[in-house]
Amino acid sequence: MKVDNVKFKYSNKTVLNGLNLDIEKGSFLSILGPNGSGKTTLLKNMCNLLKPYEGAIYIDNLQLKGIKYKDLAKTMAVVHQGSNPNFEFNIHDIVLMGRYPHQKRFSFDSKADLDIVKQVMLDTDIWELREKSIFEISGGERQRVIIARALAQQPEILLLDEPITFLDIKHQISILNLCKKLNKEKQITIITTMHDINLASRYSDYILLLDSGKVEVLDIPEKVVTEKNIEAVYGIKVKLINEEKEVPYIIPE
Amino acid sequence: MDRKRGFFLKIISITTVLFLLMIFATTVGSVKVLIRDTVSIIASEIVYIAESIVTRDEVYIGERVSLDNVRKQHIFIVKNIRLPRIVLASLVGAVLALVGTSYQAIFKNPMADPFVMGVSSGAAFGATLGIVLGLNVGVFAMGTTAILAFIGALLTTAIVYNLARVGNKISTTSILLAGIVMSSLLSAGISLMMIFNQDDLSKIVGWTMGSFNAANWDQVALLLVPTLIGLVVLVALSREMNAIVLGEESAQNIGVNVEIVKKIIIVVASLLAAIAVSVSGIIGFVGLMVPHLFRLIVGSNHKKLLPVSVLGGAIFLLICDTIARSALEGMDIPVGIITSIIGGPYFLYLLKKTRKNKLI
Repeated sequence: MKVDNVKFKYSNKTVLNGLNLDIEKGSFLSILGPNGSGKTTLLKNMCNLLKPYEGAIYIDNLQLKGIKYKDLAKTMAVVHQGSNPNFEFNIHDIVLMGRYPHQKRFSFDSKADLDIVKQVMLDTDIWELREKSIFEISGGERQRVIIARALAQQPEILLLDEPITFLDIKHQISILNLCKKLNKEKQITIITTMHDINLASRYSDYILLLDSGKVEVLDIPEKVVTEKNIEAVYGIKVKLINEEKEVPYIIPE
Repeated sequence: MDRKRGFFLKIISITTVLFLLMIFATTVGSVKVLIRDTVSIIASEIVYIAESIVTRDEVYIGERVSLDNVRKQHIFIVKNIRLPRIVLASLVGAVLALVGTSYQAIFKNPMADPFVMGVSSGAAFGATLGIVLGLNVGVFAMGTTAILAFIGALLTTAIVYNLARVGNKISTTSILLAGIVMSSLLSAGISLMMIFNQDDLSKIVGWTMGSFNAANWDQVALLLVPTLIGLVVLVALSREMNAIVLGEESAQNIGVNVEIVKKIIIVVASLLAAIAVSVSGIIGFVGLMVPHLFRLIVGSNHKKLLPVSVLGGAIFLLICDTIARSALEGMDIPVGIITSIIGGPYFLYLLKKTRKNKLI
């Protein structure tokens, strides 16, 4: 995926200010940055929910806005920040919705659809929940359901918007482990926004540090997570520890 | 697929219940007709229709069902008064439930009903105008009142739709708001007309509460085709409705063209609601309650919810209308009153009983 000089504004407030990115196939990229730095806006531009007023985004050299919704959904799936549904569905039905881009109108759900749904539910560890209602499961389980639905689309790219923000540490780790597994075993490109710098540096191949709609740094975690960079972007002093280990950790001073 | 077959069986059994209820309803009323007689009348009618379809080839369908033992008066009552009314009530019930379910889906709001976009107040305004002006030119199956109601309903919906449209997008919150404001405006207009035309008060109020007492086969014919088309279109969009209910952004990300789908559903559902209202007057509660009721039973999956609601709406309004025309000797109670009296308490009971952590 290539982001080419993307600029975006809400009415007259500029949020993305000329972004350029080149994201390798099969990589795990975390997008970090303070609140309001444009993380979610960037993600929504990447999945065509928002359209840049200048610049363009390309997937496999095709311009994003020229791709049909259904075709895009076969390549790219998105896990949005959790919202509470008003309507009751069982888990299996929700995951089955991910087959939508592959289905024809007036067709029934095929054996292949159901097999794929079962496989992704096994992969995400929610097969046992299949008959349960969305109201009956926990926040961590709900996040897995939405990821399973995304996987049912059989995407090459998975975008996640703060997938672990409202979860406890155990579920945070399990969701990130799942993402890592999908990344390594199925070669799915993972692009996720996050707040937790330490978890990001532990799981990501690359980290993008956003500041006021501009790329501050985009590099491997060791190059991004430094005392200097964090202070420049977040405006707080941090201490880098465990430097001898592979991934950098920070604690606030 | 066992689950799928189980669902088809349910649909077939509910449909059977609907037909049995229709037959039973023909026997009820101020003149009691034997169930055996009504079955003969309906059977002979079906044979007659079947014959007239294939008559060119002189195909012999079967022996005409003998009506020799049935009183002429009964034949007339069943064929020309009760049957059209029964079929019409069922059709309107089906339409209201269909529209209500679809609106609740695209507005992602379980409180939406067929009248959220101002169809009812628009229709009531048109009808009141017709009654007050005392116009009386009928076109096809519709009298002036019905035609003006239809126009009023469509105009109001179009206004609400355009008020809520920003560029190419429709904001559902704006639709609900604009609908409420248009309704109050039109209600004020209706009240004004009522004050200046006190002689027509009872007529206006009667229309507003909804009734099938003038039902005839032409109205049935008028409603049947749009209903079937609307049903096919909306059921075909049930996957999209499922996706939209769980969030418009994620719906687009699984490949749904949300704006186009919303537009199609709004246009089709509003047309259906306008036709139904102009035929029957304002019948509340069906379009709100029936989808709700079945959502509690079969869940929110529209592939199941839509067909079940349609059948349930038909059954519910048929029962209500049968009570409306037979409960009091020599009087037709407006069916809108019955739907609320029966539906309200039952719905509250159900809500209390099944509510867990659901937001309704």
